[in-house]
Amino acid sequence: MWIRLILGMMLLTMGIFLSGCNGARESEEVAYIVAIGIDKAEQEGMIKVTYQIAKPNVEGNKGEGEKDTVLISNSAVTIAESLNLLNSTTSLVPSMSHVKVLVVGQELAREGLANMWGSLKRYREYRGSMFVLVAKGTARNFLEANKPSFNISASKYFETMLDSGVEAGYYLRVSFHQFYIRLKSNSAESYATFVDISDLTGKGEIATPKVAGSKVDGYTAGGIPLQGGNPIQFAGTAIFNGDKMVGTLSTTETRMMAMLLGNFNNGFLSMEDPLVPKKFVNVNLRLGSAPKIKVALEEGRPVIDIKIRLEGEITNLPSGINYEQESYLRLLEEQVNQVCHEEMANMIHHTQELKSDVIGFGYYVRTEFTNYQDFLQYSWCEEYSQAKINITIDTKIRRTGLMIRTYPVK
Amino acid sequence: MNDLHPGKLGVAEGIALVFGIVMPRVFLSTVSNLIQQDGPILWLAMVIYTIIPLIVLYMMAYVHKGITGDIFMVCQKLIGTIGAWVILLSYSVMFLSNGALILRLYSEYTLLTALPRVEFQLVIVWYAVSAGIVCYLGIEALTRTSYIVMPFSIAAIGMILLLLVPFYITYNLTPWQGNGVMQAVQTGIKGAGYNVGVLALIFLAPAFQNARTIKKAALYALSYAGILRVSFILVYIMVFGTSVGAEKTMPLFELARLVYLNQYLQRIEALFIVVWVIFGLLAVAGSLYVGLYLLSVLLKLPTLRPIVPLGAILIANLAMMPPDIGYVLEVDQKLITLFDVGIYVFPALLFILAWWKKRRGKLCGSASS
Amino acid sequence: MGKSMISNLITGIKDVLVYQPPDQPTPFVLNETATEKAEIDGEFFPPAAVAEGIRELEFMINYAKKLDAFMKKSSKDLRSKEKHEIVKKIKAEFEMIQTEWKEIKKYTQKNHSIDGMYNNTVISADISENQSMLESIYQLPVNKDVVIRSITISDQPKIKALVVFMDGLIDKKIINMTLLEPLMFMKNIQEHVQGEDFISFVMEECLPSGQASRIGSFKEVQQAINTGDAVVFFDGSGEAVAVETKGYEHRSIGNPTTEQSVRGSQNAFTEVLRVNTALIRTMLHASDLVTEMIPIGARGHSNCAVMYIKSIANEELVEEVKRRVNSISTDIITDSGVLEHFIEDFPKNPFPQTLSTERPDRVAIHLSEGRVAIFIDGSPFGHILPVSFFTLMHSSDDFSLNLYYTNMLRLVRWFGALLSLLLPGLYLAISTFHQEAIPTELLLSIAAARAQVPFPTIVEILFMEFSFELIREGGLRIPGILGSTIGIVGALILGQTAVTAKIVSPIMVIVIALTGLASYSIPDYRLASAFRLSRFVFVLLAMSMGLIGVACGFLVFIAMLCSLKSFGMPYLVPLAPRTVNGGDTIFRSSAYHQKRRSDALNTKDEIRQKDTSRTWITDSSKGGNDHE
Repeated sequence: MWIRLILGMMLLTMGIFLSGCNGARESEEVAYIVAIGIDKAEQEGMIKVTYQIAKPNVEGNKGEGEKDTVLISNSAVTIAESLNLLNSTTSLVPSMSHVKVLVVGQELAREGLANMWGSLKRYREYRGSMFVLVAKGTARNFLEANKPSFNISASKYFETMLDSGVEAGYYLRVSFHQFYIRLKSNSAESYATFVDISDLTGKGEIATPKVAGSKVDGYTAGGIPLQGGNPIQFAGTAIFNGDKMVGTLSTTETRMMAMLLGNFNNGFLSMEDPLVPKKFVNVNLRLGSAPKIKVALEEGRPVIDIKIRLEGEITNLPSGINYEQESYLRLLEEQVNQVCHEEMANMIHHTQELKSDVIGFGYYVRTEFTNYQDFLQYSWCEEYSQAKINITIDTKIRRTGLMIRTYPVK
Repeated sequence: MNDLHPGKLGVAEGIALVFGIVMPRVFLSTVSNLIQQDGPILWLAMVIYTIIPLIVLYMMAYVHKGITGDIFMVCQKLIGTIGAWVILLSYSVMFLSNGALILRLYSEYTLLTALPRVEFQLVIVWYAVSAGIVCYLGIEALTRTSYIVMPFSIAAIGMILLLLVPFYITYNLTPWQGNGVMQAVQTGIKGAGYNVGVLALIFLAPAFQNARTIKKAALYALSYAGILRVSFILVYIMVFGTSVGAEKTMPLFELARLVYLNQYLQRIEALFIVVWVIFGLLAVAGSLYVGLYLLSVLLKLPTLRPIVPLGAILIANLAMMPPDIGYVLEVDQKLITLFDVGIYVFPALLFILAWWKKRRGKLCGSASS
Repeated sequence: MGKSMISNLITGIKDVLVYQPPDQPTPFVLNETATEKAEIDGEFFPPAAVAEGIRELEFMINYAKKLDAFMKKSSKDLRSKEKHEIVKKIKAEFEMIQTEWKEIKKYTQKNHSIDGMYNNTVISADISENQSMLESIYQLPVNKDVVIRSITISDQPKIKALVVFMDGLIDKKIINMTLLEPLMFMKNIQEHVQGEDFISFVMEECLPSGQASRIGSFKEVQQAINTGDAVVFFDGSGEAVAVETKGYEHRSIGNPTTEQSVRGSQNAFTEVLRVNTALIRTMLHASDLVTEMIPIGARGHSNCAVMYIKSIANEELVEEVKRRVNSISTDIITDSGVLEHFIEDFPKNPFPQTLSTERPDRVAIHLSEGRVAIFIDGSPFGHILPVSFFTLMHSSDDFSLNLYYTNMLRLVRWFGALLSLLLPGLYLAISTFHQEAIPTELLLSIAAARAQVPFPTIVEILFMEFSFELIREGGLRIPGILGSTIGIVGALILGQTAVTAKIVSPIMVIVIALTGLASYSIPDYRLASAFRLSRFVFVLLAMSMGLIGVACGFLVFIAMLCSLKSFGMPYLVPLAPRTVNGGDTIFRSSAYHQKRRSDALNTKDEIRQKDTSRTWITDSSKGGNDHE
């Protein structure tokens, strides 16, 4: 008995001592990277990787305007190599397990990302839940310009920022996982949130509406006239064909895309008053039900049927016309249908031109096949640009806001 | 009634034992390989997986019914001492190698995910010692522990699957025939050997209350395992799709680390490591126990305990033998052939012999009377 | 001369410099005794045993002499007188001697005792012999506690008697009133009343005492005297009478101190066995509630009471408990916890396998459940067995409170138990191995706090755990009123200053404080300490392998609990093995729904109450008709 006990104890202590090199790492010995930016380096074939590392926030140490993160950039052939370089330049061990966003410079994105993503998915510290952003300029500049105006840390900023995107539907949150499976799937193409820096002058081109009946048109990031606050802007979507970025969608287009993806929570739509075209009407819209999409193949050519139900609430009505009445309400609903229909058709046409099925109609066509091989042989990406689109939008204005009638100004 | 045959194990314990031995493979790379083979219809293969061993178990229960005594005596009576030795020894090898393989794979994946900087040998020794201790405490402790732990583990896995709802893409399950129905059926028939663990119930029959307990336990265990497997596969394919799904080394881990509900509920995979490890340990301990039990029945040992440390050392060494993970996966593919022999050839042989003997016995009986 | 002067000088200096031991008697040293040395060589014979052996031999020589005298006398008588009467007389005498021989044989054939207490000796008919025996047993007259009062009763014939009792254990009034008075004023007895008849005559007619029993051996004599009875020896009688005269001082019944409850009874056991058993009887008025007394301890002669309800408790269980208690051979047991270690299945396992309680109501409930309770003299704790792990997590007033509230409390308790077991280990594992599991902001503030701490997390944990245990253990020893104050001050100051001195990080203080608090939520003290002990193992496991270590440890922990048995009953019943759930495991159901007794106890009567335990629900109400 004693011998067994002693042996057991020896094994235990041996285990513990042996595992002195067991890879335990105290929390303060690690540099927590919250954001990674990737750009093309000046040198040929190299990439410039920017790491945003969080500083442990000791109470009272943070002065006004002082950043709680450190930005370090280096250029290397691969991301892994750049990580090694980072390790040799900081005293702490870099850890990627807390990375929130992955920012890619537009230039690099347009050249193709396939070489990079492979190494990212394989290494355990990268996770599918980080978000992918494409910066109009360089990622380094974008991260540098980021100055969260409310007193929150950089990591929290990215999360809340991307979380709040669903409120207006002007930009979409894309996790690396979503990006990646679309990259590998032949049913859909990848997209990413489009971001840029504003010059904060407040002057910028105010977009004029392209769609009849609409009052506004979309912006893309960097284009929103802005004064004060955090200079960085999240707006629009970068769309990809394969691993290459091929174009951007504006905020309104992104909103239509959100509707088709089924993540459109709510958003204001400003449009012309159907009876007094000079005045405008504001409607707060949301999806009435998940979009119903059917893709049929007619002699090999896909026909896409889209049915979308919207529900709305009137939020502004300067003309004072009694749209609250049942008969007038129809007019308003028609107007919404018409505007949305046109905007959606434009958006889809735009993606068809770019041969990038970011909405994922390719998923719906899968039911047309019984066998996976057959589906693989059908080159959806090519066929998509030829597809015929039928859009039906059915809007129901359910509520009239806090007012039930308007008295004219006297 | 010695400690080999407590005769007290009930349905719950039987379920836990079989479930524990059979389940963990679904969390390993096997699934990725199968998705590569079958595509979205893999669930059909999983259903076949479940049904075949159940039939085999009922056959074996029939074999066992007429003859009292442990499995060795049964085999001895049917095909003689040498035949019994061959059969039981190969079953023992099956269970021990299954244990060793799971041990190796779990250690590899522990290194890959939870403890990337730990010495490899230490992990294997650690798991082997833990499994050895559980095994040493006896079949009652082993099965009851798994019985207690299983509901929580299953609930945890169910929770992962539910938390991933925002990531489901139902259309990933189409085209529904995948790479062909026949392909799936073939996979199912070929892969039924992975469920050879269900025969543990037959081997340990004297430890259970009665034959009904065994049948009930097998039915429940395999159905639970089947349901969990099918839902796991469905969710996995829905989330990752066929192409990305086939890329992953560790399906469960990948699913767990994908969970992102909001900024507060994310990065929970570390907590699921606990569940994952418990599954692995129970599988190793269960396989080890059954393998050693067969050996001790063969050698007519009065008790199992003294050879448990030997068995633990044995499987730890076996597990350390393959030089790289590619080789391990290759061995895994080859082992299935052995398991298939275990689930098809031997039971069929025994069944036919038992049936024949019974008929002859009946004939003789009627002739003499 | 010069030389002698030098030598004197040297001697003088030497005297000054060299330490001279003061002239004192040699200090006392406890040397090994001779027998202890002898023990190494051969068999062990303590001097007391040798003396007893000699005494026994003397006794036999006396007997032989008596026999010799009898033979001579009878042969002489046979020769001289008429045969008829004499044969009758001799026959009677012979029978007497024969029975005496049987007694002697019985006792001498037994094992020799080693304590020199004459446990094997029978009471002699010769009163002076008994007296000298008592004197040598009780070391009289050195020992002042034992009083031997010799009296003479009845004039015709005069019979000498000895009353022996232990001063302080008896009630003097009782001795005077019920023993000495009736004996001394005893009416004359008939001559023919002799021997056994005499004893029964005395017991029947002269002793107005509640309990009196005849005893025959010195073992019983000692047991009676040592527990506060008085023993009366009569000259010419080979037996003595033990009369109940107990009347010693003891603590009165107080409130429970370790198992307080808001609701429920407020009585607690005290140190006196009889009071304790009576307390249970006041709660449980069952006629077949059996209290068996089993004396244990060769020197201590403590009484151990085994209580059970005959019509419910499983007989095999009762037999097993009695068998285990009976088989104990040790010199003294004064505490029920010690007794438990002698009889439980796994004494090396830290988990308690009996329920130790100081509440009579709890014992009563468990007795009616079919369990067995054991008590021992001098211990204010009763032990209930067999118990399952779940019983230990119940509290005494669980059933007095509302169903849902109780279940919430139980949930809190289980959660607390889990925390007290795992929290430090989990914290260590997650913060050093799996940092990705911590929310980023929290992780950054942990890192910031840790940045100035010069020790690794494991040292922090061990330091804080140690301090906490120190406060707990120290607080226990600090006398009276100071205790709680110093405990709080110690905890506050230690925690606060340790943080400001940057020895530990503030989050560690939270972790340890939470753990400490959680461990108090476990209702059973010994279970809590077992959890606390296991906690350190989990910390070590977490240190070596992170969450993997904790997971492995937890699995082995549960397997260990599964293999544990409390008096043959699996420890985790009814969870593992799965049995019928009685409705009171982790959560409880309503009292009126709990139809069956615990399945695992295999009681004689499994049904506790009928299905419809509340007949008033189905009976028609007579409300409004009460005026008839």
